[in-house]
Amino acid sequence: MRVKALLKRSGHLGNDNQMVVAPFTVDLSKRTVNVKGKILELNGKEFDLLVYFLQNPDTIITKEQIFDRLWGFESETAISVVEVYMSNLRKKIKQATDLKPIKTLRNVGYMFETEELA
Amino acid sequence: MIKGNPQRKQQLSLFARELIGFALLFAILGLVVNFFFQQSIYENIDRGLRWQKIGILTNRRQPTFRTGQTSGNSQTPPPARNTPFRTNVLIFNSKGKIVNNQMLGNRLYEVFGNTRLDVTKVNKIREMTLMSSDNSWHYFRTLLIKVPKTNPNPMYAGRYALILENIDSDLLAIRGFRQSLLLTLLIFWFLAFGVAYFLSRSSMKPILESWNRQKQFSANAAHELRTPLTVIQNQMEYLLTKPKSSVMEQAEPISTTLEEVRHLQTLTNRLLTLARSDADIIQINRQEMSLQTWFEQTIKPYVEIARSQSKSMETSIRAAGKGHFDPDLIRQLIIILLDNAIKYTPKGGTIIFRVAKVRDNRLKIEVRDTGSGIPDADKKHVFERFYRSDKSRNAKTGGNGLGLAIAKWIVDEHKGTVSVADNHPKGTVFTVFMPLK
Repeated sequence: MRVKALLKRSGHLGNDNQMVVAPFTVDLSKRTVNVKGKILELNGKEFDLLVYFLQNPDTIITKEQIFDRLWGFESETAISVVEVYMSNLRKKIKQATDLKPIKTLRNVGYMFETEELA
Repeated sequence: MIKGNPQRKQQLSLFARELIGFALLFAILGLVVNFFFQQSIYENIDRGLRWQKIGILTNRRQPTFRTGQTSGNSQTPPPARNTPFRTNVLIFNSKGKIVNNQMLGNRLYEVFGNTRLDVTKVNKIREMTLMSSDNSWHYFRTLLIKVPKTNPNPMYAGRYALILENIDSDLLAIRGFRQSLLLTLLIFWFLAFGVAYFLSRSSMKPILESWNRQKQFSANAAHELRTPLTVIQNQMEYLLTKPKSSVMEQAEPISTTLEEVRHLQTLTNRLLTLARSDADIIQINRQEMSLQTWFEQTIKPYVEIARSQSKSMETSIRAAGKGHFDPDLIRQLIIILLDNAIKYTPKGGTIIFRVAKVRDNRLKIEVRDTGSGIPDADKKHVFERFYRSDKSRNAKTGGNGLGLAIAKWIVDEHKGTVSVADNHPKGTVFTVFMPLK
C-alpha cells in the first residue's frame, strides 16, 4: 500500500497498479513482474526489493536502507541477509534478461542503473 | 573518597545530625527520668509530713521518730553520718520560743535552736538548711502547723508545731542517682557515636551507589557518543579535501558516515528508552496475542539472517493459546537477544530459539548461542547499562552495551525474569520467564 501511495505521488504508476520501467512491467496488486513477455518468478522479498530499486533508479541505496524498508525493524546483524536476497534477485534478472542493472558499491550499497537497461 | 566532595559532606552532615538527635534524645530522657525520680522522693517525704500533721492534730499518737525504715523510698540507704533523726517536731509557743527542748535533748537542740518561727508560713512545706555541732549541713523539709487550743495534748494545744523531716539521705540518693544517670547517658552517647557513624554510612550507601552509577552512566554515554562523532568529523573533513570529486567517487566515506549516524541513532533511541523507563513514563501497551503465530512471524526473518551468515538456527515454538503482552516490546526483547546470539556465534555455529508454555500460565523464552560464552564474573553484570564482556568497547561488534539493559527492563515490565547461564558444551543461554496474564 505504501509503495502504491509513493508511486502515485511520484507519477511512476501508469494505469492503476502497474509500474513500467522497460523492460520490466510490474503489477503491484498481483505482485508479478513481466520481462519481455515472460513472467519473472520472484518471491515476496525479492519482489519488494526490485520494486524498491525501480522506484529509486540511479540512486545509491545502502543495505541498511533496504533492510529497514523490507523488514521494517532495526537489527544490528541483519545486513547480511540483504546480500543474500540481492544475489538471488540479480541471478534471476540475469537469467531472464541477460542484464546486470544492479551495481554493487563495495562497503556502501547498491545502485540500479537505468543506462544498463538500454 | 576525596576529601571535600559532596558525598563526604553529606555523610558528615548526616552523621552530625544523627549525633545531635541522639544527644537531644538522651538529654530529654535524662531530664524526664531525673524529674520523676526527684518528684517521687519529695512526694514521699511530703506525705510523711502530712501524716505527722494529722497525727499531731488528732493526737492519735505521740509523734514518733522515723528512724530510716520508711515505706516509699526504702531503697535509699540510711545516711552515712551519725544522724539518728529523721522526723522531729519543734513546738513553739506564740512568742516563738521553743518549748520542747527537753524532749529533743541537747544535741538536737543545738541543731534546731536557731530555728525561727515565721507564722506567715503556716501550712506551707519549705526546705531548710541547718548546721549541726560538728559543722556539717543538714537538709530538712518542714511543715509548720498551728495546733488549735482544743487539742487534747497539752504539749501542743494553742502552739505552733514545726515538723522537720530530715532529707539528707534522700538528697544523697538523688545525687547518687543523678551521677549514675549522667554516666549512663554519657556511655550511651558514646555508643551513639558509633551508631550514628554506622547509620550515616549505611544511609549514604544507596545514595552513593546511585550517584556513582549515574556518574558512570554519563561517562559511558559520552564515550559512546564521542567515537562515532569523531569518525563523522574525520570523514566529513576528508570529503572537503576532495572538492572536485563526485558523490559516486566518494560513496565510501559518505556511507561510513551514515553508518556512524545510524549507530548514534540507535544509541540515542536506547538512551531515550532507558531514560523514559527510569522516569516511568512508557505506557505498556498490552494486547491479546495468538502466541504460536505471533512468535513464528517474529522469528522468521532471523532464520534467514542466520542462514545468510552461514549460521544455523533451530526454532521450537510450542505455545498454544493466547498471551497478554506488549508485542512491540517483546519483539524488541527477542531482537536484542537474537542479535546478540547471532553476533557472538561463529560461522557454522547454531542458535537455538525456544518458546514454550510452562506451569502457571507462564511463557519460557530461551535463546542459546554457541559463541565464546560469558565468564562467570561478567554474568551478573551483563544486564547493567553499558556493561560489556569485552572491555575494549570496539565498534566492530556493533553493540553499545544497552541492549541487555533494555531487555531486562522489558522483562521487568512484564513481571518476568531473565537470566543468563552457560550453554553446554559452549556458548550462552538467556532464559526469560514471564506470566501471560
